[in-house]
Amino acid sequence: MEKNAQKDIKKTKNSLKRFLKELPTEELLSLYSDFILQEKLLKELSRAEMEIERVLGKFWSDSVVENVEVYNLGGMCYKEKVPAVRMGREELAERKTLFYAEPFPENLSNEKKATVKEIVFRLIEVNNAELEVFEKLKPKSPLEDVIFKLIRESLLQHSRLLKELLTLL
Amino acid sequence: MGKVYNFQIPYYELVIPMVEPLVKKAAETEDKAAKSYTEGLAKIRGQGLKYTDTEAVVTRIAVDTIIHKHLMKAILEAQKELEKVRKGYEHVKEPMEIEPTKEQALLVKRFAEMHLDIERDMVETYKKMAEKMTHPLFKGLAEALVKNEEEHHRLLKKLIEKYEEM
Repeated sequence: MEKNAQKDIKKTKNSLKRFLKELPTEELLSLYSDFILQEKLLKELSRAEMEIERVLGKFWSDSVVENVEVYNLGGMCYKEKVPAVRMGREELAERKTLFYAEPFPENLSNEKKATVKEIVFRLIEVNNAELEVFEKLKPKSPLEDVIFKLIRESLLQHSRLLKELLTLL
Repeated sequence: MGKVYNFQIPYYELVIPMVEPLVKKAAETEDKAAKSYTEGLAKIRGQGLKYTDTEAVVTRIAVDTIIHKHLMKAILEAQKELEKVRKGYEHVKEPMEIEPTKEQALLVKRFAEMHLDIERDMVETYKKMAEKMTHPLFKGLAEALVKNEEEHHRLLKKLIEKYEEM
């Protein structure tokens, strides 16, 4: 699906470039800049998918997570085939019996508890640094504006999730 | 008129370097953050600890951050390319000052007509992507692309009307 869009963008971009040489108008320049961003976004989305597959493939091989939202990459991404993840899902039931753990055992030693807490604190710091940068970003186009808003929203949600996690620990 | 990119940036600002330093910083921050989250997960595992809540949260954030990183990379790369493109148009101080010849007006009109169909296809493609995607970031982006294409469609129609009169 995204391949078709990429083809269309390339075609339009090329003819726009020719027209811009003839007549550099505001409208054509604006259109051209949007197509440049669309082209880069589609390219990066495929790369994001590949990276997610690679990173999660590594962790999911022995994951204890049975969170559909996180686990179901096939549904999260627009790509139809995600073999590594499909395999992981099929094996989930079996793996669960092998790796199942309580959400957070009460009898856990203080030392281990502190280790996990320390890691979560560090991640909260990372999240704060992200939020700080995104607060300052100013969009140069309506499309950039939407993307910045989406990321900011997502970062705020991460902040809430990490703080909730901390209360569990 | 006298504005480029619909509303955000006045045309005179086009002479200012396009790549926004903060965008570069944000892209770098997301790159580091993505590494921190996956490393965080690895560290927890390294302690021999496997806890559902911790893994669910950190994994989810790691996935989102990888998407943030690539979105910012796309914006950064687009700004870099646009900066190069603009260098060729420095001589154009105010685009509305240009009075196109009849031939040029006809060219633009023909271009707009030719691309109306392509734009329609793109709207459909992005709509399908938006329907199919369930991850909030991917879905939100696909929806934004639908709106962006609809805006282009309107713009092309306006161009046709404008240059038809000439």
